[in-house]
Amino acid sequence: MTHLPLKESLFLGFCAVFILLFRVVLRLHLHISGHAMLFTVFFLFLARGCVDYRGASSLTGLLAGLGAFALGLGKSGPILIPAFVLPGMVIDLGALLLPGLFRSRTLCVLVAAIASATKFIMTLAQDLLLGMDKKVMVQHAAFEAGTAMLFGIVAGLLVVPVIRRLKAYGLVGQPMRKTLDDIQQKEGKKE
Amino acid sequence: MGVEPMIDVIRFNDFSYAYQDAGGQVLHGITLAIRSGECHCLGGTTGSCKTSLALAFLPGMVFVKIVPEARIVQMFSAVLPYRMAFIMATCLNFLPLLLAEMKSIQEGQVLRGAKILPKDLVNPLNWLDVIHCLVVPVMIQTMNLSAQIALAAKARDFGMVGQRTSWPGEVKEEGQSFNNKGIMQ
Repeated sequence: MTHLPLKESLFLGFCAVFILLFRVVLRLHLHISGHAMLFTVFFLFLARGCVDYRGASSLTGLLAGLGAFALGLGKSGPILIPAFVLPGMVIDLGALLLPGLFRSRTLCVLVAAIASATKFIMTLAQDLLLGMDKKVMVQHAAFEAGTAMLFGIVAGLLVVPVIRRLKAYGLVGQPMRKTLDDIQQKEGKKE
Repeated sequence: MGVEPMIDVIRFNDFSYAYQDAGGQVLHGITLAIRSGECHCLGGTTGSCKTSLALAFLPGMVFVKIVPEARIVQMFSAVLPYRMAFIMATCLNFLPLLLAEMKSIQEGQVLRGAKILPKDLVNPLNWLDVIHCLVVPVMIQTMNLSAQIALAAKARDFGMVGQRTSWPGEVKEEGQSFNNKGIMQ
């Protein structure tokens, strides 16, 4: 993180805080598990899409996990940290292996689905600690991961237009240098 | 010398609470304000929902409201590098400002005819309006705020020294020293 400029680091921090915020504020009583994955994957994607840094998404996940742990969100305690970091790592890996990731809806959906599927590991770990029956444990984890994947796919679909718009404004690039003031100055010069 | 202003730290206005599948509200129309430095006692018979009221206090909200930023940084820097701790604490501290910005953007966009009110979100076709009229401007504001904070921190020579060695309100007594993480021993 020492190599990352402070501005980009703060942006990643804000993405992490947004993940926590939506987890707290939008407690949707949909009676469907995994809906928190929508915002988690969306902001993890945004973090990696806006900041050209290899571990941006994992770092955002780590910050979100630590924040959630410190603020006492959820019931899992320290298990919350890998629950945020693992999807971030998948997104980072996806961005590394697929250079056109943030331009393609299909690739975004694919990576988002894999990132959301990490919920399987986390649910399995939690159930293992609870001492559940192996068969029930696998079924429960598969169900949780399946619903999380559905919401993750929606997040993958929604993230592409956002990054496209930010790129059109010249805010996303290598590195993320421009700000609102730069845009206003540019528009002022045109006028 | 002057009288310190009384600031509401926690405020509930007409607060109600219900459990899923419980049928009806267990708390109804609660209005209270707890000010900085005040101490209150919550009393009632068993089952009168004292715990429900206490649990309704969002732990995060209370934490961010009552703990100074320097203390949050200090807490995080016990387990994180100082830079990461500073970022986490700063972002939490600036969250209310960002939320106010978000609210003002939302109000402006609604006045312009954007279908981004909660009732409009029932229709998935309006979700794109949320993306274009709310999410994108909020992300631009976030980038702008990050740039401004970074500039302000740089102007105060942030990052000149790797690890902070003293914190506001912490007095180094005789015989005490700071370890390499800046924590008093």
